[in-house]
Amino acid sequence: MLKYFISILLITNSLTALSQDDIALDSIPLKTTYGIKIGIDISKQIRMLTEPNYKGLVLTGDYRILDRLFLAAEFGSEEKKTSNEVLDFDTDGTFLKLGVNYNIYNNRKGLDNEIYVGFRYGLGKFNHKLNSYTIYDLDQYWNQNKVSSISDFKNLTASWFEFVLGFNAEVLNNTYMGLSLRLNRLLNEEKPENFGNLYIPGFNKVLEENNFGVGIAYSIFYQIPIFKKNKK
Amino acid sequence: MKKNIILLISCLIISCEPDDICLTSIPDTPKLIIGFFDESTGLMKEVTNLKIQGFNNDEVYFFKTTDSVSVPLKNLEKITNYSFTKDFDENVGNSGNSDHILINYQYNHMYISRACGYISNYDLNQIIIENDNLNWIVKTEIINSAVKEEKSIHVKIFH
Repeated sequence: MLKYFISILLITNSLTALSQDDIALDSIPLKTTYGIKIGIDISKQIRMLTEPNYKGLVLTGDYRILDRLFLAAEFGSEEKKTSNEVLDFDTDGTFLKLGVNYNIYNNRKGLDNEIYVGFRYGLGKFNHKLNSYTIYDLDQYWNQNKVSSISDFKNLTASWFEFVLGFNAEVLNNTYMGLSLRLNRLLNEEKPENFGNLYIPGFNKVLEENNFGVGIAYSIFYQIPIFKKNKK
Repeated sequence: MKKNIILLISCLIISCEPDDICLTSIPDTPKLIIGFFDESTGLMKEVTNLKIQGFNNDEVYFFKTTDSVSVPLKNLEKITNYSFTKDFDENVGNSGNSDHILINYQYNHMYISRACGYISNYDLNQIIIENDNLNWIVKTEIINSAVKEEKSIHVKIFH
């Protein structure tokens, strides 16, 4: 009797296992969810905690247009004080970035993660307020090198290109966490008169030696599913 | 390929930016270069034991026998005053013949870079020698009114 019981148990077990496989094959792996992902780049909030003179809010989103291709957009605003030994200025501005992500990761059945490469075209509008500066004079005889006079440089613009490399992992159903690194190249900038664009909101710190910059984003997304489509 | 990109980006983030150091090859704020000339021959002529000191400045700027000198101008005022004393003797107070020179100019602060900040350029208007009835300086002449570099004489002083 016991012998039969064990056999029956094994058979039912294998049956349930089989039926589960069937469900998996039927529904999940063959469908791709198409939807809008809306998120916030919380690296800015982290930066606000560590950098006292920085404020930033960046909203980010993407929309799947093909199985592996996403349209991506970011919109944000930043305020930052820059001060070194010779300059002290405040920058504030807003920016918009548009581009695409291409998922290069082959997901296992039923998973929807991304490792992507992409690009963005960025546009920014910003102001600088120069609070003080130092005259570079090796001779200190008159000691008149610190200048505290406020100059405003308003409504400046810049555009740039970003190469993006990142990943998004689905941590809960329709909730994603992602990290991306950016290599930026300044394409065009409206330079303030007798000053420089040393910081551009959205672009980050500008080096005067070259046109490249770097950025990082750490985002949390929620995906609003719109429809599901069979994978080809 | 992917590894290379990550490597490149992290290098850029970590690396010390040359941008933050003001290189010594970048010229600083120019000084006013004065040449001393003989009033009759028009040739360069040394001034013996010349002492230069700014008005309301406790420090002596220069003390030497020379035929040319460069002096700094103030960055936030349109007038810089100096006393030029000829035949000064360190051991005797108030020795030599002292002339008061007033340099009048416009200043401009020009942006250089993140690391160097700004420098001043000047446009000379006038050089005035205060009359004390015993001036060793006969006259002055502005050769180059734009003080933008230190390559040549800006002002001639005849004595």
